[in-house]
Amino acid sequence: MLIFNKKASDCSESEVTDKSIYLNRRQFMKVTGGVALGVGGIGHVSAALQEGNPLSPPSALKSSFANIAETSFGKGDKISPYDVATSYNNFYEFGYGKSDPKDRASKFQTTPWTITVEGEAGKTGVFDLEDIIKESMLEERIYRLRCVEAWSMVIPWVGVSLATVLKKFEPTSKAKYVYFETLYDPKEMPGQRGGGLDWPYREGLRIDEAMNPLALLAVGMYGSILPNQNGAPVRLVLPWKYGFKSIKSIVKIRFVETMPETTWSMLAPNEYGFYANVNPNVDHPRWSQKQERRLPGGVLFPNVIETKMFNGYEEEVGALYAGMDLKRFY
Amino acid sequence: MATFWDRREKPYILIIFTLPFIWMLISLLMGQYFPDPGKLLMRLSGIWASVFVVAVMAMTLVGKFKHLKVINRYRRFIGLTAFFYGLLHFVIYLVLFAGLSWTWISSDLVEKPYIYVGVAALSIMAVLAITSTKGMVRALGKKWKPLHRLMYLAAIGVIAHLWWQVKDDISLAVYFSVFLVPLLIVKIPTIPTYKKLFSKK
Repeated sequence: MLIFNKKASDCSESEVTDKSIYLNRRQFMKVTGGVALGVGGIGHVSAALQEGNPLSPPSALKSSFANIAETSFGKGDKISPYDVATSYNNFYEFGYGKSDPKDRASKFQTTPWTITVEGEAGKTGVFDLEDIIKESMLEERIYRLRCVEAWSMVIPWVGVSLATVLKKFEPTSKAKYVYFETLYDPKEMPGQRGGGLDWPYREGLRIDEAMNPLALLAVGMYGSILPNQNGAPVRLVLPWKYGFKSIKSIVKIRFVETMPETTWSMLAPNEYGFYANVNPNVDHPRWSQKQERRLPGGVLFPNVIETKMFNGYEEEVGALYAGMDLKRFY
Repeated sequence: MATFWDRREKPYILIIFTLPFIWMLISLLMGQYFPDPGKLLMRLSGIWASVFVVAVMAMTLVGKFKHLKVINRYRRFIGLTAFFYGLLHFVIYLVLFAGLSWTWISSDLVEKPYIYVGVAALSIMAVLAITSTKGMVRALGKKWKPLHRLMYLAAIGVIAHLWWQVKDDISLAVYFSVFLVPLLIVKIPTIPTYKKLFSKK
């Protein structure tokens, strides 16, 4: 990617790996190593181990961001291995299967990348991604990711607070909501050739949700750029909401007065609401949301844990929904 | 040909029927379904259960062809295999998907109709499996056939179970409906209540 050209003098990935991540890795190796020995020859699992450090991306992706600000988030959470986060994806533009995105997204062109900004804002137009997000602004955020399908991961994202970016476009007082759109390009995204979802993928946030410091506009993960299957080159990360709100490969941002239509709530409004806040007390019509499977689990038993209100980020975002009936506005 | 179709081939048929299970087991131990084996295996075992349900439902039609009559010999075998994969699907849900967490299972049970139809279909198949032995056939006498017609109800349950849990990809539900619905429709004239309507005067 253009903005992340690494100079030869820049320090390497291994030098910026901090101690807690290193310790995390040993913990991971202990756990999965035990499982591997227990069952013998676990192909995929051992592949993750052979990568050496499962928290550092493969060498092919090593255009590391040299001076990422460290995070205060994610204390006590064990980071999911890189291999898991990049091989188990919901990205229907590349297919319904969890492994489809990784298998089909490798040729997806993410440079150059522009974002169209429209609507109730002072500065609108077409912007190059690198003009919107400068490398110097990047910080790391270790967030829990909870999918509506009841699995979860912990991922160290690299990005910029969404508010910082949105404010640059000087939204007017009429901007009550902000709308996002994923690229529509059936040539590059085979999943869009079939029916199923109404393409392009659409998402939206209330403006105060978008301005919450927790909302991240991510361009990387695990200290490097986003792999294509994870929503390259730029995506949202909204850790207190179900994963599908965190729209991938964004090409359009529009500031609007009324609540925008969003892909999943258009398809099944009784199942996927506009807010999509992680809430163990409101079940999906077809399954419970009280618990989740934190990935990776063991070979035979999943790692089942309790789901927390707002995915455990109640302190940061609870005020946004004060007084709202979250059973109605799910 | 006659010797080939002798009962001695049964162990081989058994191996063929258990191949999907063996394949799933090996893939699981190889880490193929990593990192979320429960989700994938639940789908795969469900698919195989449905395949054998379709197979056993197709028996009444297939067995009518003279050259295919030999298959009738495996009718019970196929039915039991369908039950086996259904049971496997259920166990995978309990162990690999829900981790035997009672909180998970009990909250899933609150108002999830597709779970109930699935469990109902499996219960029917369990009853049919138990009553499939020669001794039971003899003991039940004339009641055996009407009892085993409940398989049609189980098949309807399978279709409902498939359609009810569709997220976005309806292909699976469509594939199995394409096979099962016609098989169910052709049986309508043989339901005792409707028999008169369809019988030649």
